[in-house]
Amino acid sequence: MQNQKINVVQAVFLFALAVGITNHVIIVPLILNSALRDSWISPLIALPPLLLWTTILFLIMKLTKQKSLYIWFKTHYNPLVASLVIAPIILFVFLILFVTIRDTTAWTKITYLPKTPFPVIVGLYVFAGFIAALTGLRTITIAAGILFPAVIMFGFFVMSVNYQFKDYSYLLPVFTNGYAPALKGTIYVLGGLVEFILLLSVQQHLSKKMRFSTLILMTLAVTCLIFGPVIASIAIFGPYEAADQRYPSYEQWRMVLIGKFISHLDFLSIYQWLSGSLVRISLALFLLFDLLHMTHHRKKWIWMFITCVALIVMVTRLNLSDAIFFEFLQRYYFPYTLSFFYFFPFLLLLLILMKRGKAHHEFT
Amino acid sequence: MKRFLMGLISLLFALILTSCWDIKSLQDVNYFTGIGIDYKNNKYQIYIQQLNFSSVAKTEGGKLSTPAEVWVGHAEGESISQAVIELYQTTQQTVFWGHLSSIILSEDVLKHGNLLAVFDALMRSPEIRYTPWIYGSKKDMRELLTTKPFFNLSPLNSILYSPETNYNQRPIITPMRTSQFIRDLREPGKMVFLPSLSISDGTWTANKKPDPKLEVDGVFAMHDDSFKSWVDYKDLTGLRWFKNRTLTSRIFLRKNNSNVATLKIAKPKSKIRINISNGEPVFNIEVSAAAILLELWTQTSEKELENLANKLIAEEIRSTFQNGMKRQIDLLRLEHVLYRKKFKLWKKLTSNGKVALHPIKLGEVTVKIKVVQSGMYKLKRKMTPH
Repeated sequence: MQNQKINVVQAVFLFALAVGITNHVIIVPLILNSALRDSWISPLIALPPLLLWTTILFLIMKLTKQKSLYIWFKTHYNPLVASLVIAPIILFVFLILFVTIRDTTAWTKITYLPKTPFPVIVGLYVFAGFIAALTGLRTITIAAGILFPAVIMFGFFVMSVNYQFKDYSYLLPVFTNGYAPALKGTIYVLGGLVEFILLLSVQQHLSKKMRFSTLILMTLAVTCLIFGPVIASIAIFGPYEAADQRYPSYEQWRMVLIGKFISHLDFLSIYQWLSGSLVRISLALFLLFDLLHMTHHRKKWIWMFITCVALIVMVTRLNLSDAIFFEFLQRYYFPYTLSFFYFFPFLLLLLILMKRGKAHHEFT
Repeated sequence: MKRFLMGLISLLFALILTSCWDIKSLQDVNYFTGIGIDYKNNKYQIYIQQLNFSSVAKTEGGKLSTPAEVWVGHAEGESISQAVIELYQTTQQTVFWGHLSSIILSEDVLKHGNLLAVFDALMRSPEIRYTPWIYGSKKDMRELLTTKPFFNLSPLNSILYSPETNYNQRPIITPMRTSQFIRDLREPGKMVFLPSLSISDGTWTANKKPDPKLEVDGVFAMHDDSFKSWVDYKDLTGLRWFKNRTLTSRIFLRKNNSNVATLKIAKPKSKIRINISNGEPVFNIEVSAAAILLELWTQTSEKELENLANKLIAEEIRSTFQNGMKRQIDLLRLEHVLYRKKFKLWKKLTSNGKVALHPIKLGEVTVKIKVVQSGMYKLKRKMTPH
């Protein structure tokens, strides 16, 4: 196998695209729905707990010397503990796959391909992710590096063009219904950001040590990515209309208008969203098998293929209406992933600290 | 071999990913560009405007000898989508709503219709955007949708579709996009001024025959999703000092019944301060702007010009406020300032938005105009020939 390591900058691009961009599309409607005008406060409230959590994450990466989590726990504890440690991450990766595929394809079907059969959309999309995942992390990372700059550029484009429709006075007054709505919105902000836990499962693929400042900068940048569209939505549509929209970020794209002759540029958002979610599902697929120690397995592609088919069947055959899916995200998916994965790193750190001395002893 | 296989797969992707299912041949589509919504006999009436695109696309050097053709379709139903389905019976081809650029709501639909349901039907559609211009009107929909601009141009060149250039010349009533209308309509305690579209029969003649033209003659004032009143544009002149986009607002100064000067006021800045006296809000307004001298009739000092302008603008603001109070509406949108700045007091005084704030106390109106330019002449010119 040739060198499959990626450098830190690449990893930052990869995570900004896979976690940041795509996350905000899924999360923004949930935040607006629960926090209305206070939505823009939610990312601010999320900052302190996020910084604490990121610090813990960094400590884990440092103390495990960016080795594979499974191997570290196998050598310091036993295979059972190691399996128990990575099992939640495996489950999480699978859920990410399902949610991302479901949300992206449903959006595709509703907005720009209404007459294309749903299984065809899902099938082609998953197949593209399958090929990327099969070729390995390096491919996914390079793809992310190529796609990312344009995605960011288009983001700034939509932000500045829509300035003509924005009235920032709509951001006030805040806390008209107490502090509860803003705190509820924070659940979704953090619920999305705990996906950075996946960094623990790519840490062994990094060619260098991740710096603390890099990690903090990345999480801050991704929080800004949530902050931006939330503010824009309130300023353009007002809090109540924005809360009723299923795809608020996409609605912003549909507003884009330059003078009398340039409009209907929302196809650029397709580029943004599809590149984000494609990188996301291929990364998730790769990690799923990497965590199962099948990266170098000869039959990996068969298992991956079967997983993809299962995902396609799940997304298309489960009679899941969009309303139920939205409620699933709102009531279960984000609150539960948040409450588990926020405290998960604390537990890991505790386990690591307990055995650190012993490992040191073994070495000497 | 592996590369060849990969190439083949990519090629396959290119071939099957052309989204043939959703292909639309441009010539086989009916484009709905404007919709008028009325409410009569407990039914929603929709009027759809379609344009002949050969009159929209201008050919080089070719004169438009024939008038632009406009089709107006009408259908009714219990709801908007019922009416649309009814209309589809005769549309002949696939309808594409993506280029809908104008919406007209009749006075009846504003008064008696369920506006949120109307917008639900429109905005739930993945084809319709929030960008169309939106108007209210008292006139007949069919007439509004068939009134054409000058020179045989298509209605896309009328204020129904391109109101901005017209507004820039005469900035009294700001044209409104659907996004803004919905945003303001759903905002607690905010007055919305929906531009009222009308037809002026007498202003223009073409070859000595009357040639009706569209005009914006006032606003429909709405508060909390319900219709309040129709207001003539003459009663609204004070409103323009609160829009800092206003570029070329002109004021004509007179003193002792004789003409003094005309000033152009650029980018006014306004501030509304709330003072609380006896638990009730008093609104103090401050406006400041730069002025450019356009014409001078009587020799007047800079100071005097500024004083006259200050007085005139303050008077305009006060009279606009009074015009509103007479109809029990808040033309300066002061209630919403209270909502923004003193939410708790607003909540108390309006029972959390159940009733509109009334009466509203207007305190001081302070205007500070600064004459910064006198055009191509000096401010002090000789008022006699020599």
